[in-house]
Amino acid sequence: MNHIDSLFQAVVDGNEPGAIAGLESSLQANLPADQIMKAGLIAAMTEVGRRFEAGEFYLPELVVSARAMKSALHLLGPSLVKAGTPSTGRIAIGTVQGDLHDIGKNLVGMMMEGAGFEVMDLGTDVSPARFVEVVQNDHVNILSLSALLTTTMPNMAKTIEALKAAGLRDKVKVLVGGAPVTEEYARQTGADGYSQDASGAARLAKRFMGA
Amino acid sequence: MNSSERIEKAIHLQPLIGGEVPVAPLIITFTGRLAGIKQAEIFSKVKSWRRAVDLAVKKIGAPDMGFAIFPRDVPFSEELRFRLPGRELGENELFQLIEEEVMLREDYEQILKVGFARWNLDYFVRLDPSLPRGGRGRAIVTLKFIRMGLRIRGNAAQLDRLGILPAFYSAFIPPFDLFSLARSINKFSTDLYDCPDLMQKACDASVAPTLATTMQALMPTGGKRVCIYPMRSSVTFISPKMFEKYSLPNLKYMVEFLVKKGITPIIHCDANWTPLLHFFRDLPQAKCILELDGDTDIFKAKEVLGDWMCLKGDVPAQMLAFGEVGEVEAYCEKLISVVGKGGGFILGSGCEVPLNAKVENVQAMIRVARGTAKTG
Repeated sequence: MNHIDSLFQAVVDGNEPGAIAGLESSLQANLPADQIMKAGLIAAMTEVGRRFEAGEFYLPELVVSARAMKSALHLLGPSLVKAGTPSTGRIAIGTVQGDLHDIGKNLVGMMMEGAGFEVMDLGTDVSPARFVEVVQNDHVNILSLSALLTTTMPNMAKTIEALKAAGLRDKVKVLVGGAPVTEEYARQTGADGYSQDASGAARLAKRFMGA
Repeated sequence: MNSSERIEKAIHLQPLIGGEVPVAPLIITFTGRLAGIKQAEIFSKVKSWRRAVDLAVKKIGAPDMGFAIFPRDVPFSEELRFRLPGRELGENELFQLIEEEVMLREDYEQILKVGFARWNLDYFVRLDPSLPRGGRGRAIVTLKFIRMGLRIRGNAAQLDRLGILPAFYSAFIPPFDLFSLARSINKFSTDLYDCPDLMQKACDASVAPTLATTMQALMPTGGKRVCIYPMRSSVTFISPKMFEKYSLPNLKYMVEFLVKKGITPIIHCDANWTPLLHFFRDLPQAKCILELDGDTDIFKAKEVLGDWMCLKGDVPAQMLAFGEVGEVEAYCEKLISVVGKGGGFILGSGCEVPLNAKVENVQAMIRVARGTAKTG
């Protein structure tokens, strides 16, 4: 098994020490940082996402794979910066105003990182004004809005309205999701995309970026 | 036929003869909406809560089962930190639970060392930074539990007067699910890989003390129904293999223990249980209620468990909040005619009726159940 293959396999297996070893051996072999990133880390997390959507993997597998990926990515970071490797895109994630739930949002963040995105986590209870501010100032390609309560779901549409009012709606793609959110509801909010799980959200985000 | 008889028939999978399908939407915080009383008030004053229950019943009629729990005791018993209306949140906002890593990995060892009962009291003290640490903190938590038990007794008496059966008199989260909540989902997921044996040992050691506390809690009321919340055992959170290995054995043991004591377990199963339904055939037949929300396919549950277990559910929260009356009526009629066929069904909401549900949608649920007496 070559260096990239062992890195790939360790991430898929959720083997954190193995992922670190695979990353270190890839760097020692002078493999290009962007190749390690794409063929090792992003490809592994894509495979994890595929298995999750196919019902072969469940949330714990996703979490341990993401942990392995993050540890390897942390070590790869300086090489990526040195090589000037661009990210897949920049995405801001947050749970909408009035909602303090963050499990779904955090999973989306993990899968987005695994897809090579630079992730800005805005946390929970994020106001429409804060989302607008981030789109305005931080060159965000995608906003990912999460809600777990039917009482806070309308704040997804309010956020999209606020983007429109600020003249920023066409500057950013908006993804929505959360346990009570349905595809039909997502359409009514005016979002560009909906996913029922974190893996699907990452796949959709990559499609938006043409990646 | 009164509510008690209808519910008993449903639990024992007996056909309903010319009666009504029981209806029991899970209404706690929504009571405030129905009564026109703010959340902050029903969370802070027992009198206001009980007044709200009376007014709510006047508005929608009496369901067959109701919830004898004071709203402020709900977040307290979930064993997580929380934000309350009128305290950290707006006066009429819904309470919210905050999942944080309050329990650490070394707590598994601590449970094995000091026992679950003592550890659990210490954990409650840790949840609330305003409490003094040590014995004084544990005494305050114990007192809170005693007061909660007394409130349940008073609330249950009120429901009895209204002709409503108290849904349950005590509740618990099985140790596996409690640890998942208390560790937070990501940390717990890594425990399943890094130290599964230790976690399992701590779970096993926590079962008997959990049951002992539950039986103690039933003493003031003599109640015969207990709610179990395996809220982290569905495939939304773990794999079927993990469920079978880590969660099911203790869940089965606890259910059987309660049934042997003549208690009906109500197993509250939020999220997606569809691939796990067949495991419920390992539990005693016609002795439990399985509560499902919209994430599990309740029609599949009827196929798998129709001859085994009473099903309750599952009008989804989003339908109650955003749907139209006709949609709710049609869905309830479908539930009654398909899931209720032959008996063993209680019409309910998928988890709690949301605070922004339309009143007319909840009224529609009750109306459909009361108007349909043809099952069986």
